[in-house]
Amino acid sequence: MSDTPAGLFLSRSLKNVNFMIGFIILLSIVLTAVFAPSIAPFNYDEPHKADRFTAPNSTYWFGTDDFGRDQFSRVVYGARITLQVAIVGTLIQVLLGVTVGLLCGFYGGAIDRILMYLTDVTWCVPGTVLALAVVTVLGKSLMNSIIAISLVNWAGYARVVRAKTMSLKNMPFIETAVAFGERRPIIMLRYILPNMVPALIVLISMNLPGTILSTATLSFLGLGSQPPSPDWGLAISQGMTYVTRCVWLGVFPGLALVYTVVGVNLLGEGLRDLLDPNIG
Amino acid sequence: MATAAVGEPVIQMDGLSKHFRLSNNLFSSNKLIIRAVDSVSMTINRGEIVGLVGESGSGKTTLARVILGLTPPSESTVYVDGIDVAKASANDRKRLHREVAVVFQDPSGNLNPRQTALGSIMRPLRLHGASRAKAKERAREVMESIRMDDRYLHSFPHQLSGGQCQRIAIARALALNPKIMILDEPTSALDISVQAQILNLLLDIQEALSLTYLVITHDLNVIRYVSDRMAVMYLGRLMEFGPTDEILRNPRHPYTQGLLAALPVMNPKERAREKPLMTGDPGSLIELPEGCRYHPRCPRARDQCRRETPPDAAISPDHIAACFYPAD
Amino acid sequence: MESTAREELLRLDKLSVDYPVRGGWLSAVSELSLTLFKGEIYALVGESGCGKSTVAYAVTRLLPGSERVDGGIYFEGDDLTKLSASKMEKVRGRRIGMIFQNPLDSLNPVYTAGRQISEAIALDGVSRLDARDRAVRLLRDVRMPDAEKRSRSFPHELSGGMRQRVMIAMMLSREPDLLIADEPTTALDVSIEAQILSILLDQKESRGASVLLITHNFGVVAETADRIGVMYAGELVEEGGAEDVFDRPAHPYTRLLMRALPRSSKKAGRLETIEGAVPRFTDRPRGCRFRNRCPGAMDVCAVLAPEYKTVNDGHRYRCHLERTGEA
Repeated sequence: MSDTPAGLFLSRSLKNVNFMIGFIILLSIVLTAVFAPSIAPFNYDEPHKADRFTAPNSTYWFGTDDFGRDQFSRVVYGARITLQVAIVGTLIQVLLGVTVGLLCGFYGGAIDRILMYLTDVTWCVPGTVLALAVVTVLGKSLMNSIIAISLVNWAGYARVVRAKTMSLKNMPFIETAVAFGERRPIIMLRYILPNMVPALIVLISMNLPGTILSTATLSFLGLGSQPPSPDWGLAISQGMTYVTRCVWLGVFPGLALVYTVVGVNLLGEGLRDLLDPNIG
Repeated sequence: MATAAVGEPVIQMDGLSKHFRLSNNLFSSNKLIIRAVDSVSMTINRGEIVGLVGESGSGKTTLARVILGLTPPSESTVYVDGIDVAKASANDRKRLHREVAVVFQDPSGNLNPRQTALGSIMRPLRLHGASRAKAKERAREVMESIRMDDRYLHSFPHQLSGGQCQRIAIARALALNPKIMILDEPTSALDISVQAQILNLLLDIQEALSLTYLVITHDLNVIRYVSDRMAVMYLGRLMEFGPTDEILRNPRHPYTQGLLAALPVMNPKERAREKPLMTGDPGSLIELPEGCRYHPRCPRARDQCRRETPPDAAISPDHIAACFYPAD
Repeated sequence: MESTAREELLRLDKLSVDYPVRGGWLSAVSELSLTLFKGEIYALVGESGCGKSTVAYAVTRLLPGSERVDGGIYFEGDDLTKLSASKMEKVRGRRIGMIFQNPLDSLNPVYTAGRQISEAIALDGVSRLDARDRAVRLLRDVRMPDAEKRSRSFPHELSGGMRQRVMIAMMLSREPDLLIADEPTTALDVSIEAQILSILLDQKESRGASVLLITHNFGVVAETADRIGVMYAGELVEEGGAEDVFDRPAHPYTRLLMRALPRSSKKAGRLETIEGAVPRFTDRPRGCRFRNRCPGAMDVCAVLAPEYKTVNDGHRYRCHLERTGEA
């Protein structure tokens, strides 16, 4: 059975150090997010008036802030937000990028020219600036900042998917399918899309750190999550206020962010070796 | 539904052309027209094997794609089993999808890498209304008819050899009980011993089911072995068409003569024979010569050949050559 | 006539090449010994996976680097396996020229055809202007239509046949004693194939160059080769003069392969086939490598690797069976 694509992938991935480390890091974040209520000693917005600005100790592992909230609990709950950003953000980008890429690559012609023009325009405008504009229009909230970042980042998917579609659509097995009567939407979904899955997985893992960091940046600027959210980006910006007195306020959410991004990056590197050595 | 009897025409084209437009740059309005297939007339009868031979750029694959309905003709049309492929109704189209099957050259590219052999064979059946169980049963049946073990049904293309992939592609083509098979270089990527297996298999199937084959290849040895009649194409035009043994014994068109002379002998003793080698390269479809397309390479070209395009002249009722001065 | 004082040019002495694979070594070439004489065309034939291309890459030392090579490769007395990398660079191109199957990959896309050829010539200290002239002359020698004009074309502007001609002109520019041609015509049309083969024959006849021709195409072999070596699963199973091998193939594999070639119409009967495919071996196995596909296999074939048997001077084959009948 180890000769099926999945079996082969499994046996090779166990030997890939990057992939395994990245996978373990990501797994730890997912587990933290899922079991946050049992891991965190306190609720993330539970104030302890008596213990404001406490340095890290045995009760408050990461110290407390100006409301006396346990920073460890806040970082743990913050993982949930990061996971939400990763999932929702990627979903929007992939859906948009894949749809546009498939249509452009498969039909070509006017559809291709118009949609690719749109793609190139989004590609050209500096990402954060465009995101700022979108958030300004939509209003400040985590969800809006995710949408903003996704509207900026989908173009990369569209380009790769388009190129891959164009090379796949002339493959003999696709021509054969047309010859026995397969309809075009089905060809895109059943024949072309499955053959792009490895490339897409690699692309997702390479884009994910950017999505997470950009969304954190918007939160840091006050345009994403609003207090009392335990968002790591927001926490860093709040920590900035007290950086001279209470270094820990900014450091721990920062480290959490770095840990996540490094993990996803390693996973991406590993996946690229495992799945598609020709990309990137 | 009246089906054609043995010997009746099943593929007919009269002056079929397929042109492609290439715009060479954004700012110039002059468009290049590629005449990939130019005014080809040919009739293929039920139950026969026609070989189509030509070098790169001859338009042989484009012709196949037009017959398969993968690309519409530019001028005239092709009738397949009486149906005009360019104007077929949805129902007729469905019938054509069932009756005309195709096998391409590239053994691994012929199958969806993400599908098992079983999935590949079942898909056309499911598409044409077979239940899951029926499709599975039929898949096993065709596997038996191509003499391949059932266990390969659960293999992915990368687990199969080139010859095995090609067999699965043939099985998929047979699944819908087609009447016509278009075989585009079916063995070009295979080793000699595997080529022999596939060619024999194709011949056995053709005889057992009295199918009609159009075999497209650049390999004259394959044409000689399998085909009853052969057509020679050069730069989009039909040069010669007739019974295979007659053409191979006595080619009338200078291009066919050149092709045969260039064909390597299979015996070192014949190496010293007189070889009228063709000079130059097969021309380019972008810069087509005036008059006969072959004249720049033709040793017998005269003034008329440089000015006028030769018509498909009948040498005998069953043999035509598009040449003003065919050989005797 | 061939027997008079043939000078040895290249000799492979028990050459073995193994590639590392999961759980062992894949035996690509196994104890292959053959001699190539001056002024002859030696064709190494076999199906894909038989190791014929590995031989070409081993001689030119262009193997990927992870492989294990045993045995000797003697070229005019030097053991190429022992030469330093810099000395080997002087051998490649200057004394051994290489022609590959896919000429587009072997040409530099940013330089014109003429420039690439004249640069190869300039390596030998010829002035640039002379080199340009010679490049055009070389293109004429390889029958390039419009040589003057084509020397100013970039590789992507040329057809496959023209690219192969540029590649060959580059290789011929330094007049190497040995040309290694790995499937030189496989990607080309028959009319071009015939022209390319006649260029190779020319090289042999006009200046006594030797050619190691690697191909799966028996037609190409019949047109050009003086001697033939048939490879199967990494071993040389038969070797002999071209006419001998074609007329009286001795090894069952060669015989079956000859009968699998389509030479006449289906009316003359079906082609013979060899069931199965070329196997791949990790760790050199005992016994004969062809036995599982051989119609005449015996018990001894499973345990004992056959020795070479001689049919006549220079014609030998590796099989336990005595040769039976004609092809």
